[in-house]
Amino acid sequence: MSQAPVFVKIEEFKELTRVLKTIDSKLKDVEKSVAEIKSLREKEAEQINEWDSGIDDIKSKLVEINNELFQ
Amino acid sequence: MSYFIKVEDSSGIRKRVLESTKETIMMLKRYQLLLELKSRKKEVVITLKKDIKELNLLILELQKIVPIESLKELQAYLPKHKKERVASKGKKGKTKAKAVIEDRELEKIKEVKANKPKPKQLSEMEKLEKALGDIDAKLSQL
Repeated sequence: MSQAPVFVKIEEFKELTRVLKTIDSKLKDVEKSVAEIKSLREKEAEQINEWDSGIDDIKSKLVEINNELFQ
Repeated sequence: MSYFIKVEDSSGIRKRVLESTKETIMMLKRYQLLLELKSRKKEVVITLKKDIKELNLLILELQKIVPIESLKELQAYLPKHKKERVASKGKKGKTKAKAVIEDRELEKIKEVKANKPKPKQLSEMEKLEKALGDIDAKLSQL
């Protein structure tokens, strides 16, 4: 790969800055979306954990009822 | 005649049954919340996909503007006789017989290539893998 200087036409340079700006704003959008997905996943995990503890709670109550009724 | 069984601590049992029912309803509520979260996630993933596609297009646009100076691409810009000279450089110093054999091999390769069935259309994943491979190759040249 040569290390020769690279020149870009001024019109193309303007276009380049426009494209770079758009890429920057798109990247910010992507970043936001990824952060939202992350937070949604955390909330989902939280809900599933609560489900888990809820099921344990119901199980223990049923065991208690079972014991009282059939002992 | 009916028989009855005495239930000890009936209010305690009733309380536990009610608590279990309450917990079940809360679980159903959580399930609804989970469904909402999933649908929101789906929406965000769709937006993300769209954004990434747009980003890809923008990067392609960028590649068009910024000069790419890989050797192959530079050769494409060279005048024809220069290209030939570059190609013939490798053959220097070889005997005529060897050159004839090489030409025959080249013809054979061309025939095999012509007989080869056209590759089937690449799937999205294969396309992405190919693009990644190209980028890696370009990066290794830098």
